[in-house]
Amino acid sequence: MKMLGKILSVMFVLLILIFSILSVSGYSYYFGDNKVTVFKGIKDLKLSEDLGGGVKFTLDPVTADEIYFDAPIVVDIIKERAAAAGINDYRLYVQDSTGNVELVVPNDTNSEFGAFELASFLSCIGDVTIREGNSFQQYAVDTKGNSVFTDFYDTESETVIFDRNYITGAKNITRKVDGVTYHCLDIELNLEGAAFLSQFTDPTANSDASYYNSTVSFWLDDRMISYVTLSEHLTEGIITFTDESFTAEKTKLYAAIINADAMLLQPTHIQDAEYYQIPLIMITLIAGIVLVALAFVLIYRYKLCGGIALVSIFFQFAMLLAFCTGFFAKAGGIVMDTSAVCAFAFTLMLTIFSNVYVTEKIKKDFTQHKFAPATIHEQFKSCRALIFGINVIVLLVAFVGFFMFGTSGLAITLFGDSAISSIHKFSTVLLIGTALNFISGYILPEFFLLNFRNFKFAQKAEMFGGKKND
Amino acid sequence: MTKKIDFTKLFFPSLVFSGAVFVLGLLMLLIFGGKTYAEFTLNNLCWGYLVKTGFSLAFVFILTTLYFVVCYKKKGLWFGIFGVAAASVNAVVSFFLCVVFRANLGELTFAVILLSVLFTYITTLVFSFTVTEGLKEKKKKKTTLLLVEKMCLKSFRTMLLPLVLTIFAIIISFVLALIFGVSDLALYAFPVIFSIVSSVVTTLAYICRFYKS
Repeated sequence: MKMLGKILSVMFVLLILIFSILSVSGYSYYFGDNKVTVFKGIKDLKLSEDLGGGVKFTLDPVTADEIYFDAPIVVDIIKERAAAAGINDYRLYVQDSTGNVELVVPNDTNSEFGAFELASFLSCIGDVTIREGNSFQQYAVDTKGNSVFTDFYDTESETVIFDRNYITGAKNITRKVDGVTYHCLDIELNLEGAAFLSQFTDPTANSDASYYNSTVSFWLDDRMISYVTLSEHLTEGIITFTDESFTAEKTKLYAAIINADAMLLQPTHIQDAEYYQIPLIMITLIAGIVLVALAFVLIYRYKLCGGIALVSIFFQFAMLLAFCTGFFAKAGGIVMDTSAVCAFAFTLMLTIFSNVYVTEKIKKDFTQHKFAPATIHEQFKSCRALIFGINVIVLLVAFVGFFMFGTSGLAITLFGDSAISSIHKFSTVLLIGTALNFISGYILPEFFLLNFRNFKFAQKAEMFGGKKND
Repeated sequence: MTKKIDFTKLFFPSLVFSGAVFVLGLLMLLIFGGKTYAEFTLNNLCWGYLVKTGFSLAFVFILTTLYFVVCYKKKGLWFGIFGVAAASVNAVVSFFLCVVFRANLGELTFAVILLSVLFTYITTLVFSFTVTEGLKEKKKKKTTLLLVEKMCLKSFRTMLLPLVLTIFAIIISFVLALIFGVSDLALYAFPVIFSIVSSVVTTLAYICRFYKS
């Protein structure tokens, strides 16, 4: 391993400590009234519905007309929509006692939609229509700061041109015009619909039902999504909608809703979801007590090695926390639930184990044999296989969970839309944490010790946990 | 304290413990029903989940066994098969421990089971590593029961650190969860502690017995 100078080694340790503090505290400033987040801290951690609360939509399988719908079918449709849109952060189940379908979405969604908007889109009837005209005039800002049409439930555009009988599906696409990327939604019609569309948009036709150069709008239930002016002859049965407010995520979700079946059910009850309400002080207390106890034991027992182990543990904690929060302002991060917190703690434990295992071996060797800092790398060599093996085994388990229980295309194709977000989150944090442990439990301790042994104070056996004056 | 532990003698107590937890858990599940969130009732766990879980387990078992084979050649196959058997037993035991302690059978149950499986695999790996190192040190080619017993003890000492650390963190979480009134979370403390301790101890006890027979 290439040797660094003494100053560089100390600077590297300081950098890790500064990064640890930054990843916990974050950094933001105010520009006028606006808060500008540069780096995210622990306060910006997104919490799932079990830790941070959310909204709960209840869907009664018996409609007002007393038509009964099979609840599992409703569940399947919502799952299909969520899977196609790549949404993992929700809980969906049939309440055994009532037969109601319940959909819970966390307040901190990892998407452009707020909890309420996301839940209402996922549980909407899915009645897709293309109507005459457009009824909105103004944009407003939704809970996530995105522009939306103000007049959601306007009923002015009542003339339906195409409904689900004509619409076969939708595709979300992006188009680049003059260097600007536009997110578009292609609505596909069946043969009958395509024939009507061709007829309606024929500029040479002279009929009352012509929509050539007219505006038509695209609606999901009673919500207008976008509008377009039909200024050319459309013969292929595809109408393309685009809008300033369209993003890749939005068009993906709209396409997912159109491609899944309609439900004919609407949420009957909306309430706040129950959650653990764990105060931040509790998490801080746990982390604080464990850290202080650990620091005391490590430094008391292993001295220099203990200090280096602590720096590596800080590095692991800071890097994993940065991954969970997203760290950079525009990065997404992940929505943490209780199982993800468990995985976080487990990977930290793994780092502690890796570091302590090595330092214990060094201490034992220096106690039993003559103190010789030059042979440190020998002890590392003998520990490598075990630490590496543990990391690989945990990585394999985490990878299978991550791949199988998420919304990866292959897993959905093979096993259907049965993502389990809690296992997926557990596996994601475990996967990243273990991958980081290759650095903090495997490379960093050796790197630091090899560099720090050149310092004068490190030339004594007691600094490695050995006997005094050895 | 660890000097006195004879893992060969711990085989039957481990077996009785696993069996007792299984029977008690099953009886409690049948009589009182699973105290569970709606999404984890049998109605909600469709075939897709079960098939997926089955495949996941198969993938994990195959991949880990392959890793053992790559690392330890012929012996690795035995370690791998042993890891699979111990992980399966410990996963079932940890599930029923959640039932016995009346913890909600939800996402955290999966976390408890996965932790138990991970601890089992780590123990098997630590043992494989210790035995291989032990054989190298003693310049022997074949393992003897005495060596296995010694190595089991050594592996247990190595595993004491992650065990103590995890239990320490869980006890603090348990006390704070009780203080802050999050009793639902506190219910998981005992299943986790029991399942990780039993995973480590029973794995080593099974290994000793396996070599003896």
